[in-house]
Amino acid sequence: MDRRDDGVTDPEMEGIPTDYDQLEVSEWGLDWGDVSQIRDKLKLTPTERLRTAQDFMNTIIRIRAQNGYRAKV
Amino acid sequence: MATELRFDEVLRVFIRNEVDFIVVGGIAAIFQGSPLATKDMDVVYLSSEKNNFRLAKALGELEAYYFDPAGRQIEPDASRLAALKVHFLKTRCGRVNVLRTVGKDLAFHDLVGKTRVLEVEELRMRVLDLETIIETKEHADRPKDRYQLLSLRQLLAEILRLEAE
Repeated sequence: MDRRDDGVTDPEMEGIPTDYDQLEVSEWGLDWGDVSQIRDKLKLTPTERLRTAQDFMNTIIRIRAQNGYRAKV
Repeated sequence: MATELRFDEVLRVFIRNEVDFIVVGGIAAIFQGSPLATKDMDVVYLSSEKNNFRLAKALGELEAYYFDPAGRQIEPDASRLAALKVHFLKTRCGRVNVLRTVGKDLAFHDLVGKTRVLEVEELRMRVLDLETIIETKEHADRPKDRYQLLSLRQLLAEILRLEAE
């Protein structure tokens, strides 16, 4: 919005959300970040979708292992 | 050492062994555009003598054994695949849940008409359609399903919007 947290008016910021409650919410309650993630995935092929999901989870698993995390199951 | 997830390899082994199966759950949703991460793959298998034997052979190649809090390594076989509905397995490619039914006790024959054939890593397979994944999550109604439903319903809305354009 055009008013900064310190109360100073900043007309250049008119219309720009600067807090979560100002973000537009989709019909299913998701915000802009969640919806754009879905739209990005829809541009990929099923193979690319599997590879990106698998790479993402394997990166998390590797970082956790490097930091001493051991899954209980 | 943590197991590297290789769901592509699981699918390859199933198809090489001519297993009749349907990819369901989180991985099926990922194939159709879901951004939600998952650490396990769920499949529904046709429970017949021949298919149970093929599936047991494929699971052997994947070095599968039952998740057991006591830490034993008990392997699935054709007899257990015929007798039990749900098999939570650890494999050399990550966790694979092999199921005889999902949702409202829906078996392979109930689901096969609600699948799409998708090509993934040059493999063609049956994948449960998004509408039915949503129905199974609604039926399960666990807290994590309720959370995932928001994203899956939004995904379906985005797909329908793209198709209408």
